[in-house]
Amino acid sequence: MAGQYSSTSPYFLTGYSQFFLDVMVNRPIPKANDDLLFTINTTFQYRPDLLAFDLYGDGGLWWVFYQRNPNTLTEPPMDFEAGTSIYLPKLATLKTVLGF
Amino acid sequence: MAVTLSVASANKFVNQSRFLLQDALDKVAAGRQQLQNEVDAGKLTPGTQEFLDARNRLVNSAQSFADTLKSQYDQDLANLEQAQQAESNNTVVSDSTSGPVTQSRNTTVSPQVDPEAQQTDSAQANEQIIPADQVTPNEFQEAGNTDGYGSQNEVAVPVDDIRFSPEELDRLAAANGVSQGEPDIEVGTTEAQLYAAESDAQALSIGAAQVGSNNARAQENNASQAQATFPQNQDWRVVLRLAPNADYLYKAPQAGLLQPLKVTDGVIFPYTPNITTAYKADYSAYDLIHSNYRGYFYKNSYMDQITINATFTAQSTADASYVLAVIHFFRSVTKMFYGQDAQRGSPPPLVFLSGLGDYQFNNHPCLVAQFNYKLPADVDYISSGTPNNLGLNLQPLQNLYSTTLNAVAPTATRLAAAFLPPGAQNALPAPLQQVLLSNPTYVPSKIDIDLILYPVQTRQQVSKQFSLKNFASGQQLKGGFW
Repeated sequence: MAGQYSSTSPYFLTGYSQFFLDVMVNRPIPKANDDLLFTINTTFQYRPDLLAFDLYGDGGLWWVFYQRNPNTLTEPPMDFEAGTSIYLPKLATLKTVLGF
Repeated sequence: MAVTLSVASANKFVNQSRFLLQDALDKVAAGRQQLQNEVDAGKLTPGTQEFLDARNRLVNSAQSFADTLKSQYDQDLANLEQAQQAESNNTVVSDSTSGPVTQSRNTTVSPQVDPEAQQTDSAQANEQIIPADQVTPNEFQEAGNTDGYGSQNEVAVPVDDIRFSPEELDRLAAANGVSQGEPDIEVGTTEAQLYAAESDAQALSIGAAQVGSNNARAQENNASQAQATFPQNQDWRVVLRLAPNADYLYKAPQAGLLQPLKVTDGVIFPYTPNITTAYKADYSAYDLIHSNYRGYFYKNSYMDQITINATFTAQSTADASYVLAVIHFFRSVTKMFYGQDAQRGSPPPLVFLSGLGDYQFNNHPCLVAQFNYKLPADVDYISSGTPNNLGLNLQPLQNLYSTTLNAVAPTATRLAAAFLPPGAQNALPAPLQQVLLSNPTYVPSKIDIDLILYPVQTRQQVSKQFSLKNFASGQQLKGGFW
């Protein structure tokens, strides 16, 4: 059953029963040609939530970086290391896709 | 009468007295004019008792005012003497009939404390002592007062030179071609004072007219500068910028490649350039038959072209963007507005040269006649306006931050440090995103450019503002006169 989680949650589309969470339904973030390429610096190392908060105003959107860069980021949050280059989805894209 | 008087105080007193006398003169002149108006209007007939009464009223009024003036004059002089006696650093002046005038500044020095100083001072005093009766106002001026008023030099003068005695005033009036008195107003020496004051007032009025004329000219210059509304040049580096109200090239809303110049408001030469200027006067020669010498006719004077040789370097993407902007600016500023331009038909824009202080180049208008640059083969090249080694285009984002972000907030600070815009919204214009981010442009890390500028002065400036006197004094350099 959807709707137990907010629209900014990765589990927004995932079903939920009274006792357990259903199999996760992925929420992919589409790629855009003008997405910023960002090299993670020491400020945001291991802190995707902080980057999400600074960029989008909501730390709960940390997972969008993983969805946007599935080949680069696989093991949150310890692979969110300084020197790693990732693409940053735009807030407008997130609003469109995630519906918040 | 021995009076202790410093020149500064004496000058102040003289000026004050002059204005009082001028005021009296104005009142008497107004009374005369009123009397004349009544005669002209037929209300009074000369020779009648009514006319004589009116004239006597005028004379009495002038006499009354003169008495008031004299008492005020005496009071001011008494106050001045008291003030001067209170001063410790005085210049001793003797009466014109009783002793010499010392033209040196006699600072009181105790012989017990510094005999050498006292000896030196005394020697100086002896060298410059001149009889008081030989001191004239001219000598007084030559002694250090070029204008005769308000000098900083404290030079002693006899008080009789300051206080106009009736005889002196009569002489002064006669010297100025004014009779010592008219029969219809019999106010004695006071009338002579007034006439002397009249001559002084005329001199004052002439001086005031000259000052007014200069002020008007200076005002025109200021207006010229105000029209340009250039910012005050706080930086003495050489800079070439567009007019303040321009809306083209780097001042266009979408400056594109010229965006880095918008931040610095023009092309700032980071290294002191070589600037060659030439001021010329043309003469035509004429050769006389059977003559040993050649003669010359003056034709005209002009300012020849200005040559600038400058060096630019780039050690980062930001520097490279700036160098690219500089190159492109000079390429653009040699072209006219044409075709699709809103200002099509307009010639290449005017630029203004500043730098090295107010009296070197101060918003001097000129035209870019030629721009030469050579891309050397023996230096490194650096990408400009493109993603840097980390894949980020830093300069546009820095520009964006400078205008949109509040750097005080922690979030903004962190994002600014990472060169990230809020929301990861790439605010670069679409053309720049395509051009700058995908197609790197390379500029040499060191490049020399050559410029040839033509000095420009408008006809209005030349005809209505230029003055060799003001130019020579340096005043018009600030107005952008070549």
